[in-house]
Amino acid sequence: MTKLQKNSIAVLNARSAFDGNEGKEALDVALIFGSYEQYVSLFFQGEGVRQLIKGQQANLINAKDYLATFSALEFYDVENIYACLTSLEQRNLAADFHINNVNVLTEQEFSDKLRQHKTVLRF
Amino acid sequence: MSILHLVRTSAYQHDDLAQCLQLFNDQIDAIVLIDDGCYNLTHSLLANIEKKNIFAIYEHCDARAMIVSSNQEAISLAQLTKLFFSYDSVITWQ
Repeated sequence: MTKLQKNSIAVLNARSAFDGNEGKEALDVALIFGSYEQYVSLFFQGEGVRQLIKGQQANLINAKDYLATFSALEFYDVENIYACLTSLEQRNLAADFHINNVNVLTEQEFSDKLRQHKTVLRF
Repeated sequence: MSILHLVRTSAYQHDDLAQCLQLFNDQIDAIVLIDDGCYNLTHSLLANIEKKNIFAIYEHCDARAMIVSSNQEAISLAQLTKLFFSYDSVITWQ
């Protein structure tokens, strides 16, 4: 059994970058918890893995470029970032991300890692 | 750590249930079908999940004319509240 991190929060992203506001809201939540020095991790599954892919240009569709804000995560000590390998493979996506320190995990590893968190918020 | 998975959408329209099952641990987890999630009672994705690990809110099933089979447990919203305390964590899939 994996060890539970006390008062830990997992933010599970399931939407692509510009499908509604969920991606930005999830990032805001992670940064807020990070600013209060809470243990927070970011998970990307399903269409959510698209948020991580390098080379997106929000300005072309008049959308806010919140993806640039991902680079702030390390300043708030949000260093636990996990992407689902199966989700990447199903979409023929390479692990070519616009942020560093993304850990690509198999389904089992992804599940195990998520279970180490007390609270899971899915966006 | 056990998780109670609340599935609120139909797998015929969304992939929430499929993503849920990627994380599902059939030894310790359970699924509760709520709202349009009740349509998943007959979905092939749940065919290999042990029925004792699947619950459905009976009001929500009845409202959609979905029949809960005898080996699947139909529960009330009040029973759902009690169920929360049997698991370490809850994830809402919607």
